[in-house]
Amino acid sequence: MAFLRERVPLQIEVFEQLAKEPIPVHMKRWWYALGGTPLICFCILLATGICLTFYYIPEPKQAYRSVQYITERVYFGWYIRSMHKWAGNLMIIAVLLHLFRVFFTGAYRRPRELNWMVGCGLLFTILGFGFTGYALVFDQLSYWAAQVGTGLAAKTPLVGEFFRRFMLGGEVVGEGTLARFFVFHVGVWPSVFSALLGIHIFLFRGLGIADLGAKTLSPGEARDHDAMLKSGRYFPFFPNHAMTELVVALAILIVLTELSIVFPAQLGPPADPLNTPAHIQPEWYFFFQFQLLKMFPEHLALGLQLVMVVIMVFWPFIDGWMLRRWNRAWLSPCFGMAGLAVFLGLTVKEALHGYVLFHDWWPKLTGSLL
Amino acid sequence: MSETPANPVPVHDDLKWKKVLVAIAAILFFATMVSIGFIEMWRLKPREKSALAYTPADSASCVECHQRLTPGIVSDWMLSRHSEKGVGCMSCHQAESNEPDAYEHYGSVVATVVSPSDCNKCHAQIGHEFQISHHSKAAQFIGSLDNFLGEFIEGRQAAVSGCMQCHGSAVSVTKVFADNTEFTQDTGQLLERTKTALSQAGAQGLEAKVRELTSGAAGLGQRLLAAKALPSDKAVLQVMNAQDYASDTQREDNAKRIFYGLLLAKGQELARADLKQAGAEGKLAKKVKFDSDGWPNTGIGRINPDLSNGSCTACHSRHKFQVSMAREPESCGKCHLGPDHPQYEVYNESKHGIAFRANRERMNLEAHPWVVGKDYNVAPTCATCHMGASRGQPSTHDVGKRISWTLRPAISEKLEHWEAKRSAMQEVCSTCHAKQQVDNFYRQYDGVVTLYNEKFAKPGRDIINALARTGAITPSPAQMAVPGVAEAVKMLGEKGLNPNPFDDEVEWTWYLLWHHEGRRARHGASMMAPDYTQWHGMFEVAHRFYFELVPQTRKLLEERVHEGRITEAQRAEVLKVIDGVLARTDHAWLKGLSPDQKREQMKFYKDRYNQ
Repeated sequence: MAFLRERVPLQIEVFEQLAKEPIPVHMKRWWYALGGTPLICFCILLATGICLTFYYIPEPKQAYRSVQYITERVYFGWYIRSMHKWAGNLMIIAVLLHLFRVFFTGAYRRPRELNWMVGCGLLFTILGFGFTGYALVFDQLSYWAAQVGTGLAAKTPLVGEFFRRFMLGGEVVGEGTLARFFVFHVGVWPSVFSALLGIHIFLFRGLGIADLGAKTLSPGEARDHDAMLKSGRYFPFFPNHAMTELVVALAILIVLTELSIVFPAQLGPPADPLNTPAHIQPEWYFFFQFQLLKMFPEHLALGLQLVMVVIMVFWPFIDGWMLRRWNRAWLSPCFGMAGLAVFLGLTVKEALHGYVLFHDWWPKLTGSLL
Repeated sequence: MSETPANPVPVHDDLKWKKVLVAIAAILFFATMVSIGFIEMWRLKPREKSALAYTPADSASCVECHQRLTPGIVSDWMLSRHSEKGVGCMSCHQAESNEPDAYEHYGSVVATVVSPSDCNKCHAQIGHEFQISHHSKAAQFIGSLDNFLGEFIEGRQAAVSGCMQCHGSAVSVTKVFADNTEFTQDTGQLLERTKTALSQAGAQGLEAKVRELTSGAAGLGQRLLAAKALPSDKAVLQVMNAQDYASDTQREDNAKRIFYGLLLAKGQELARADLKQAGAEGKLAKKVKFDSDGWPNTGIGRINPDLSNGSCTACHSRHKFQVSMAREPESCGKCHLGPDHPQYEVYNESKHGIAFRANRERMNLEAHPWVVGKDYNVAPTCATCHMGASRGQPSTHDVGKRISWTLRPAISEKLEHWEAKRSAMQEVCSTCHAKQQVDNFYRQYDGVVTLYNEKFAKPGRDIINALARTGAITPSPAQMAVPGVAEAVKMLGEKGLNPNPFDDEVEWTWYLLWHHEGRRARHGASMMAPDYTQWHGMFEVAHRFYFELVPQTRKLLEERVHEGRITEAQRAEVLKVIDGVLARTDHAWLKGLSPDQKREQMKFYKDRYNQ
């Protein structure tokens, strides 16, 4: 430590103080580790993504073959790819669970409204990761998912056609599309994600973790860490909560590894622009939107989605307005339950409709176990 | 601040307990990592056995070593379908010690040159189609004017690095044995000796081969063995009768296949006899040396040391064997381009080429099968029309199967069975075009070829033949069959002049007219390239004919009369030919514009340019 004190022009105590951030005692419940789970997944995605980039070639003729090469020939390539895939899925699940937990505990309320909005931004960035990453495989399903996805983007009023061309880098899914999706997947989204994550962490460290049942500090009010820790209603971040996150991180690694062994990332037939597959389906996290599109005319479905996004992003302010007007705290959870029911309902409906899903999983499961 | 929590959290907060959990999770994580390691080991088991993934055991050491020495070769092969299917180095390079280019290489007997005979072991049907194609005989062009130009007028090295890199070379090879003795096989000479042997003794001594080649055609074997001379596939065809195979085309194809089979067998017999005579039979060479004139070479008609014709790598490239590469127009464009046969440029100018470039990523070039109208629609490449599978016919490696005209010679002719060939091509066209469009296209194409033939090529040939007949030029050997030329050659011989196709300027003019410009016009029309048909084609032909061939002929005649090489009567005979040609209605423009034409032109320039 003396070595560092002499050479680093910073007060080490500041870091020690930061590491001992008082954490509300309710955080000892395991499901409060969900906020850290996406970060752990992000680290896994970053590490595996870098490994995949060593071999991946974002060019239509080579993309599929390079993924095939990674899966079949590169040492541990199948494992790295499967981890990347499952970490991506788990990240989305964790972010959604984190979002619902924050929503139902009201942790988005004043003064954390902006952090909720940043969190929404993180969710959309992750979905962007999913969309662009899925297309990079360039097998039949991913090709057609990109085709359908960009086609839908074109329906957005005013900017749709520009947006579609911007994503495609041409008229059809091809060289330009792969190059752009690749740049977004490995460059743009990680940068945006890192920036938003930085802001997210800064805000929640600055404002403190929402203390359920305790008074909220007014802006500028000093947080007396020592007094808080002595109160028994708080415990230090390090080592107590850090240890919890470490257990979670190891558990995530184990679960992802097991998933990679039992359900390794598959590779369908190569992209064939002339042969539309019988079942085009996006990844499960877009099932909700996909169902909306099936149920309503395109413009209405897109409009609905846009309204939902706006409501979701600005919910802390809408909720505040409702509280001021009606003073009914239960209203927000009711809306939340309704939204969750619609989301889950449509997702399950699409999953059931995609008979392929079950049709496909069972042989994979039995095949890999046998 | 000192109050106790109102709602205590029922969880263990003991740090020690968490440390235990971390330890357990770490052990479990380590266990999963070990299991991943085992899975990887199990997955790579075949790789360990044979050094690398997908490498068959007999090729493992080759791959291991060549990965260091020539990594490009190995990396190409790793990307190939061959590597996916377990076809390794030895599958193609393994040889027997008596093979002309076989040598001992780290305990194995290998040959460097992979000939179509090697490829045929697995790709028999493709090999058969290729062997009966014009492509496979591309190297056998020694008697051609082009070869004379390359080899003698330009010089040997121009032919080696130019002509032969497309047509193919004869790959001669020297075996070096352990005792430092050497044995050289001159492959070109061996081929000539083999042809001579077949033309002198027919299939005598090749009974087993004849049986193998004629299975299914009763009686043909005996007739072949009874034939005293089989100098070519045409001679084999003459031995056949209508019952031998189902159709004329099948009979012709089989005549080519049988002759080729006999040629290989006879050649190998002669090669073995040479080895025996040199005391090298059964001796394993420690290395081989290739004649640099013949190797490296990927010309499509290469004559290989085993006398097989062709080189699959001409289109498929070596080691990667990419089917998509062969389907790209660029692949054909390696040879089919330039001033004398600009098929590649013609294709690029055509709507087909434009559509291809605009839709390359939709061409599905790696697909197998690759059926136009099914697996792709956006554009045809050279391979689509000349070789590719369509809804009505399978793919073929006989590139001439759908060609109805030969555009190669001075005067185009329709090929044998041209109707069948044309209808095969039209079937491909019908994938995208209606019948009337296809029929009318062929009328336009026939029209250009006929126009060229009748207006310029035949008159040009008549003028050149008349010059040769009178002795005004030293004729080309190809003109010897023209009545009167033999006598002229004799007369010239007395004056110390030998036949020579390129020693008079007018002969170069005639060559450029038909061989360059005439072909450009015909190729342009054949593949819908308007600029090549007209400005690079017929325009140049017309200019060359009216303002070079005819004036040069007239001038030459005057000079020859002055020199005393020809008489006035002979000059008049040639001029009569020229006058006869120019008096025809299709050359009537020389007499000036008709009043109608004059009026039209004045109106046009006034309307458009106000001039």
